[in-house]
Amino acid sequence: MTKHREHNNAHPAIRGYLVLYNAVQGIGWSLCLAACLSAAHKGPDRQSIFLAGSVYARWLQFAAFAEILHAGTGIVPSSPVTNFLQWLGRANALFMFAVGIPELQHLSCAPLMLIVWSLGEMIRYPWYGLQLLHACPAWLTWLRYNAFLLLYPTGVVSEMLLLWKGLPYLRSRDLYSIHMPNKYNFAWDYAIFIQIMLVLYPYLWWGNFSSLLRQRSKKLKAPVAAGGQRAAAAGKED
Amino acid sequence: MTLISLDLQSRSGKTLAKLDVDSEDTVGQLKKKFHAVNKKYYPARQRMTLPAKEGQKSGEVLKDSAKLSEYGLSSGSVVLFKDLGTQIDYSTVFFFEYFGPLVIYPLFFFLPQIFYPGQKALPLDQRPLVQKIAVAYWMFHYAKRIFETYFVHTFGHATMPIKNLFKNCSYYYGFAAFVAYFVNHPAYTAPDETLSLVCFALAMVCQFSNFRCHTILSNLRAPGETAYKIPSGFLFNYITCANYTAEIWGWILFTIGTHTIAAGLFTAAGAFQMAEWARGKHKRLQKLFDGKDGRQKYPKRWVMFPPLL
Repeated sequence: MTKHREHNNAHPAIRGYLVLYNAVQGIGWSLCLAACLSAAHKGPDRQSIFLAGSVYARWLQFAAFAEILHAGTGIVPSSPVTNFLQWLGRANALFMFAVGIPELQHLSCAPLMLIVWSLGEMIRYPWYGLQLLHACPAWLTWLRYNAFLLLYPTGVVSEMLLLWKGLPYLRSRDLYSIHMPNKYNFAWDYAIFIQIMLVLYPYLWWGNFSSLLRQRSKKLKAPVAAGGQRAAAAGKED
Repeated sequence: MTLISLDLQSRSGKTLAKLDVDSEDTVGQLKKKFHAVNKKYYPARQRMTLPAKEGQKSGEVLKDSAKLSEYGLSSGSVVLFKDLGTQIDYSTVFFFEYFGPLVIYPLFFFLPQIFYPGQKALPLDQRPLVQKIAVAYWMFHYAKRIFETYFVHTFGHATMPIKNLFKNCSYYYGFAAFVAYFVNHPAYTAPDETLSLVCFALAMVCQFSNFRCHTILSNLRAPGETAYKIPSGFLFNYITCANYTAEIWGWILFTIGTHTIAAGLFTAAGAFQMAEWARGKHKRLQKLFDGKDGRQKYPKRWVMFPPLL
């Protein structure tokens, strides 16, 4: 239903903007990782590591809302709904939980989540940018389609753990909820919402992960075949 | 009147059957012939296409009513087959989609002890007037839809894939429970009664408008006709999908009349989906009625919801 213009042929100003956007995100997440590692070097206090990285992560996540608009306007061939749901998931974990409930920052999953996000995004955004410039090196493509195998499962487990650990605080502090009676007759129990999300998370995540697996087998086919031929030739020479 | 032998293949190129037909036969008759060969694939499940030509992603779909000669098919021609999966009648899907909300919503009104456990609900005669009007309106709306399914609507396609049944029912049943939960809640705060009465009165006007639109649409084609026609009369003179206009306004008025965010979300979701359908229909009619070669030109009209669309 959405009209997708092939973004590699789009107006040079649009391509330029997208390259810039991807560069900013790529550099930003690298800074986030650097901040986390630097804090970790100073001492093993998990909260300090988290806070050091979150200085960058908050802005990067806020800015990432733009990707929904990119998809909605068609300058990127992606679904705005999918982008929105993914953004919402991360924004929830970061702002509502990790930032909104400071006690959670003492858990390992808080800084670990930031580090995993950083590692993933440091690869993904430059990959998009360089693809737009038709200048993407093969090793980056290799990284893009292999790093997620470790990073994605680690990421989703950290997020789910964070949400799980945050539930008691949601209830005791009555966070982010609307109660009746009120003028517009609406109620939203955030704790119940999160419990439902925790049930849906693995299913939603798997949809994402399996589509990446499919892309991976398509994109990494050629180098594997070339390697196979070389190995076969080498075998013959022996 | 020429006998031809068609090569029916799967999309991977495997021949499934060689079918002997007359070139003046329709595609529908061809499908019946294949069904006789393979009992699993009743005609509604079959999609037949020509092989893709240069530059095409996929070949032209063969319409049931068209003659085989219209597609230039001759002996030895290849026709590609696709299984559309288990099919279910449109009218059956509509019935189940609408029957759910018809039953689910009043459950929340009549049985608060089940849906709001531990909360004191007022006895039925003491409930706010709005709650009573809302349940009556909601039930009327879905009863009307079921009536239209069997006595008014004429369907362009006879069937749809069965997984649509589950998807559609989830949508309707889910939203019915969502809206019903809040309107019938023991802690419900009713808006000004006069405002509600005016809103529901206008909403009923919308229901009747919507019904009139549906009868106009069903009368566009005589039985057996399959050509697209330009709708006209009543609101159709100004709006392509006037039936959607009336439907959306009905729900907007329901939302204002009940002062319920959940109803607003339901209205927005429906409007969003209808906008997609309306845009498609509007484009299709504009493309068909382009004013060239003696065809009518599709008049300038709103798509679905003046002044926004």
